[in-house]
Amino acid sequence: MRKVIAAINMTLDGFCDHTAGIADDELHQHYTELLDNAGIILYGRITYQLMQFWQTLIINPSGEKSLDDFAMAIDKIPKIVYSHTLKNTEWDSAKLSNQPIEKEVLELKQQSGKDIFVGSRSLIIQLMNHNLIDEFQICIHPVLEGKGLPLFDKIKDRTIFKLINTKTLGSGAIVLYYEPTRQ
Amino acid sequence: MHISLDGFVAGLNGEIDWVKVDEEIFEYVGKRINEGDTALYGRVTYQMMENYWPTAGDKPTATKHDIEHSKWYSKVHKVVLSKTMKDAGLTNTKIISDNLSGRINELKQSRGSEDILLFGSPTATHSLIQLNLIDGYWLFVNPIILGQGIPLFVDIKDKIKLKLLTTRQFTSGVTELNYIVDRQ
Repeated sequence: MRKVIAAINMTLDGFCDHTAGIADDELHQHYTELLDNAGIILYGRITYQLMQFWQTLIINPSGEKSLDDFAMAIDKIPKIVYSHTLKNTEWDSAKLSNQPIEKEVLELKQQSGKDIFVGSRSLIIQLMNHNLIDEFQICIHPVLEGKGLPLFDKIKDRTIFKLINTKTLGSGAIVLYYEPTRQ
Repeated sequence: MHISLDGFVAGLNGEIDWVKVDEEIFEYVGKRINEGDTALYGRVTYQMMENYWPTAGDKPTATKHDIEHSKWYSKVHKVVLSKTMKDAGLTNTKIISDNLSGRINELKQSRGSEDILLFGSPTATHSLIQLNLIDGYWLFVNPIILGQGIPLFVDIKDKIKLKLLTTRQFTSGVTELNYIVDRQ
């Protein structure tokens, strides 16, 4: 069965802040590869609207290979956006959903295809609380931000993981790959 | 410092039952701590250490690590941050109770290039973070989310940039992240 993978950046002090990380060529390459190997990616409205920036690079490429490659990858990957307020996604490869995410994820898992990625903090928290995340890929950036939205917020129970892999980037960011152990 | 993936150093009641330590980690950590001869503690951690390590090597069940660490503990210069303790009568132990910045800077200068390791001690760490006295973080990230507990990083007012020096993956699933503070 295809896996549900939570892939997100956080600071060493645990916050998800789009501006806090080190977005260099290598990080963009990392996420380009991730998207190229993904079947679908799920976003909440806030992250989705940040990602819409990349549509501008499809129309006007930057000339920077790592950025343009990432723009192509995110353009191509099918996206589902969870929002009660958006009327349309304004992106051909993105569709809106207002269904309960846990129900839709269970349906997606039954279908064949490559892995399902979850790229928004709020969706990751919801799916974690339903025990629906099969793998975490957490990219820890070498910075203490001091404020922001914590990734692991309002988690009630201890969750024990198995470390599968680590990948260190030149910037000092490190991706930790974990599987939850089901008890 | 052992931390959970969600950044806690202990549970709400100080629980550290989730911390994974084994021979592999003891051996790795031992190499670095044996290079220095100063250990810094907060009062609570110091009292825990004092209750255990001086005699840990003498117990019939003592492991190789217990014996070695017990020897190291009695030999190392201990510096304790406490407003209530007095250093009279303590061997090889100095108490810092006021002028934290000045006293820590003196200590740093007297040790030259040697690293001064602060063990455990979340409250002391928080005081030192506030005074911008931490030069690096040597973290052992345990493969667990606790959900609640005592956080390592609190009240950080200005963004602090770090440099990742080394990292290591242990068979227990713990990941070492060894950072220095990037002061530029």
